Amino acid sequence: MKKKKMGTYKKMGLILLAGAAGGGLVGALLGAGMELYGSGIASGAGNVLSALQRVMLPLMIAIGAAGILAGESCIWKMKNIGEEIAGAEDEACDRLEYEYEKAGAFGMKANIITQALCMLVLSTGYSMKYIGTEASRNGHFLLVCIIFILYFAYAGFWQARYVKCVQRVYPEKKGDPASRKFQKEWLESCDEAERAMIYQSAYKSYMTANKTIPLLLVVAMLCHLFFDTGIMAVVLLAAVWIIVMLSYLNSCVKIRREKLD
Amino acid sequence: MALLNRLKEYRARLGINQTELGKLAGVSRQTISLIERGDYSPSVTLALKLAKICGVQVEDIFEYEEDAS
Repeated sequence: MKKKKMGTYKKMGLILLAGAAGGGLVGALLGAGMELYGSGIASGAGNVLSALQRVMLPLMIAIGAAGILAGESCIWKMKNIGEEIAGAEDEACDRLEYEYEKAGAFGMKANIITQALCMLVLSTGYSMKYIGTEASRNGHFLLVCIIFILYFAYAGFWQARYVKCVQRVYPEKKGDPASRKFQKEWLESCDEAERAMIYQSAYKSYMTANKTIPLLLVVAMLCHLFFDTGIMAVVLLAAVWIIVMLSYLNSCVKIRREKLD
Repeated sequence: MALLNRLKEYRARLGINQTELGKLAGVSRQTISLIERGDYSPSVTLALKLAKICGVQVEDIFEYEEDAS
């Protein structure tokens, strides 16, 4: 017997109802939890922040060192694999190029993650409230700021070295990393299969952003509700969501319009 | 649907490697490798270009096969 398929609106309605029930339950549990442990959580978060402020300098040095280590090992690995690619047979080349891509992606991930972590560590003391305290006057914060700037300079140069490294193995890849038009020139120098891969990955990134940003928005709203963390995080996340959506939708319309001309 | 191809065979007849064929067609070695393995279906332009380089018709290299389902 043919099973009757549930209608789209009915299915959506049920999903919304389930979401509302789930949200209500989570809200009630969080509310009860906050009633019981709210002050404890808030003071715990305050203690974590003070602890992070105390170890800001060694933490920044450790993150910077880890980033440099990962970056240099990646460039070294890419150079070695690049030399092997130059003299490899077709079949061996497929495997080597995969290894090359993997090494590059690892380096780029380490580069971005360490930059984000550096910002996170810096932001624990990057407030007038902290700068005005006695604890900030030992000069550590200034050193943290200097290391932060130096590491960001290194990370920027590392990205340029990464691009040059790829261009040495694939001379057909164009673009100067110091130029504003770099992304455009790089994409133009890719062939159709490479572009298809870039577009697929870009669409996947868009889908990921579309799923994670609303979730983060809810988390930011809940944090503001229970811990009075301020509305800024909500505003910024909403802005990012709007920008991502608009840039995707506008791009779709623009491409359609170009096809009409 | 599946696009079967005999690019590897025709490339071997020419006596060139993937890098050289890629250079002639204006694409990367990886793209030639992807096409040969059936992991990428080339555009009509690229398919015509490859056929011209091999000195045959597109249908000699690429064959469209419908799914049994």
